[in-house]
Amino acid sequence: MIRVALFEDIKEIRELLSETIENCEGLLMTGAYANANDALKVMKRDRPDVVLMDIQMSGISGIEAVRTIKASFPEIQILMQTVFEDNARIFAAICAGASGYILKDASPERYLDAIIEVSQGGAPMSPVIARKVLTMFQGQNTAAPKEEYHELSPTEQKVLGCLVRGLSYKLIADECKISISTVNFHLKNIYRKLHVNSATEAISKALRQQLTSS
Amino acid sequence: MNTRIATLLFFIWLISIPSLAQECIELGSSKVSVSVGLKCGVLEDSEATLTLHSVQKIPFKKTMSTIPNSGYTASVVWVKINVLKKGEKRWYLEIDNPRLNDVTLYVIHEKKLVYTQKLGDGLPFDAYFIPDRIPIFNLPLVSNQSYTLYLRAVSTEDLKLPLTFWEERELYAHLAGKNLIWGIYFGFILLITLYNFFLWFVTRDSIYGHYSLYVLFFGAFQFCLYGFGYQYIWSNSVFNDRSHIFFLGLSGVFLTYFSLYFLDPYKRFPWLKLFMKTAAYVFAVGFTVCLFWYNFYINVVFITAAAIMVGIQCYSAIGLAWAGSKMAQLYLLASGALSVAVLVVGMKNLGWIPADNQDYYLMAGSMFEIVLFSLALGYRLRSMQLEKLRQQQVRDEISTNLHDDLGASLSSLTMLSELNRRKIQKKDPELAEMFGRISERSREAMRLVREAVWEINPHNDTSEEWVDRMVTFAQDTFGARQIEFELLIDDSLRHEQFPIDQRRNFFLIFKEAVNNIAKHSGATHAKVFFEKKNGVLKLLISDNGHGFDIAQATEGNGLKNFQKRADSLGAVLLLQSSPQSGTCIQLTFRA
Repeated sequence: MIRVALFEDIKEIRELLSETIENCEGLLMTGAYANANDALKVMKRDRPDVVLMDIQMSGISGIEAVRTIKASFPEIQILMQTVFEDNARIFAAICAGASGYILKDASPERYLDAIIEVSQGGAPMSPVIARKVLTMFQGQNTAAPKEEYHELSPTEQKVLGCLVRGLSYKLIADECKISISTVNFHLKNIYRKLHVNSATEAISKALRQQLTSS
Repeated sequence: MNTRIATLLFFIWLISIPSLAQECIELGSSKVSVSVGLKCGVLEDSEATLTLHSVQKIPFKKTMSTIPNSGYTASVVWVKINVLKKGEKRWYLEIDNPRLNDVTLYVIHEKKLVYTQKLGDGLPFDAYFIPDRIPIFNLPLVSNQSYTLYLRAVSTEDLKLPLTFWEERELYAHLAGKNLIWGIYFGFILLITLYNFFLWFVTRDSIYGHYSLYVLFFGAFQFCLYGFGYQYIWSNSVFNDRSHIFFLGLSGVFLTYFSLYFLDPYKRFPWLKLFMKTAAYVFAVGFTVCLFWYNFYINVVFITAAAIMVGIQCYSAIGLAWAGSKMAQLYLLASGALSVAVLVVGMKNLGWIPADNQDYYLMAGSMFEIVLFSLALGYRLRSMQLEKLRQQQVRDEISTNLHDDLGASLSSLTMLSELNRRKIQKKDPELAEMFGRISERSREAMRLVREAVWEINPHNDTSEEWVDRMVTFAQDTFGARQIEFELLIDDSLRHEQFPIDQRRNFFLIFKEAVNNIAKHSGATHAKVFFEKKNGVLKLLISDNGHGFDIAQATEGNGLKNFQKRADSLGAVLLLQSSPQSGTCIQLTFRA
């Protein structure tokens, strides 16, 4: 059973989406909330596996909420919901600790798939986001002290490179001569290293600078 | 001086009785210069029949102004000066008017002609004894003897005779000082011209071009008017007499255009645009005609026309300034400075007020004007920057509102109908299909909003975002059809700056190609390759679909649009298609 918590500020959507998730086999709604102001309390009580987080909400922003949740509950996977493919914001959310995003106009089937994918470690990265992640790893290994910094392994780098080119998991698996589930495993690791690195002081500073300048 | 008094004086001068005895000027050894002033007699010969012989028998009128001035006239003017030479110094007579065509000096001693010399810009400059743009006569006078000097002068321009006797050493000091002032002035003109030219070159804002040319031609006008053209460039060629009108006309045309751009008075005075442009053309025709046909009264016509133009421009500027336009106020101040100078010089030339130092009035007036105009241009630049900033803010606001409000509403609409579709699917399949259609439509609307937000959001003016947009589009379109794809995009393209319209055309071509593959090719795999090499951008889009018959497809609209877009981009479009190898589109162009 995957336990799901939902943060969404539009009432009808919140209700219908919870109903849909509840009716899906293998998923369990633990709660649906209009804002993330009490996110930590909610996490403590609900203990979800996956959080669906609206990127823009009244009260504290989705990105801020991701950062707080991840700091206390690193094992919770967070899926961002966004109206537009706003790359800068999505990237910021991913750096803050989100493991994927979904556009709000996606079909319910796609929504449910994404929840399941994220619970397994990470949703597929779009080429644009993958590129941002890759440049971040390339540009920031000098910014952090060695002991705090988690470098990408050569295979992970290769996988990320393939994602930048827009290749599907199947083609990535072919090209790297690994299985599809291994691709998933590497992706999960990329997300993890990104989150860990982003949490270190030096990089979060550099990241903030990068975000404000873009 | 009041105009009424000036006019009164002018009439008094006309009817004044001939002087009985004329004062004598003493060129003594203690003096270095003597201004002739009122100590001369004047005779205007409108028939141009008098000779040196006959003129000696006629009484001269005593001059009423310190500078004998006949304005613009076809008459011959005679001046008579009595001189007593003392001491051993060498003396010269300067006539500070380089526009005299023909001026002859006769030196009479005891009723005999002892010396004569001819000057004026009708003669080649080489004939000048003292190499300066103004006529300077050498006076070989013997000590302790009195002479009577007669000057006979003709000019198609203003016939005025500012006369001064100079001792040799002082003359050279005086000329050097004058030329220094003129050098500074022309340096100033050149500097402003070049500065505005470079501004135009960089900004391509035509107002700087017009201003630069206006200043240049106004400088050229003075260069001609004050005899520098004669001295340094064309000597006594035909162009000499008419050159100042030619350049004044040119500068007038550019001033008019400059004013039109600067004041932009069309809204308040719609008739002005037509009038000013027409006037500019009339000016243009006028000065061209002057090159072929010229007479002294052209000057009067031109001064009048220029005064009317300045008047109208001032009138429109006053209107705008009154309405609170700061730019118009500065403009008014600037053109006011020049207008005053032009008015003074015009009255001096017409002989209404004393004619001394006329060149410095124009010089100072135009310098004030140019400095004030430069200030006004700076102010204009600043207000344009502010306006741009404001527009940017509005764009920001619009795109944020579109993004947040409209986007959020549309996405909730999509989501609501999608969720309802899923909920009702089993109970009422027909209604479920309706919901499906609603979500499809709102998704489409969402896509349009996303494009619109992208277009107006100023942050997307950088090409980094632009390349990402291509990637996202390919991902969305191919992803929706389960087409495997591969993007190979040169990273250096992200730093490329494209003009916006070029970027739009390019993106539209890209979109259409990607859409065609997704909808029609039946491909399972697509490749996008985009690179820049040696300044040439190359886009390659290929698929493994079933291809199409290019000859047949050329008839249709799809390919025509493609070609049209490629043409407006200045790009070369190559198409290859076959059932075996699929379709390949290659687009090469220079950014």
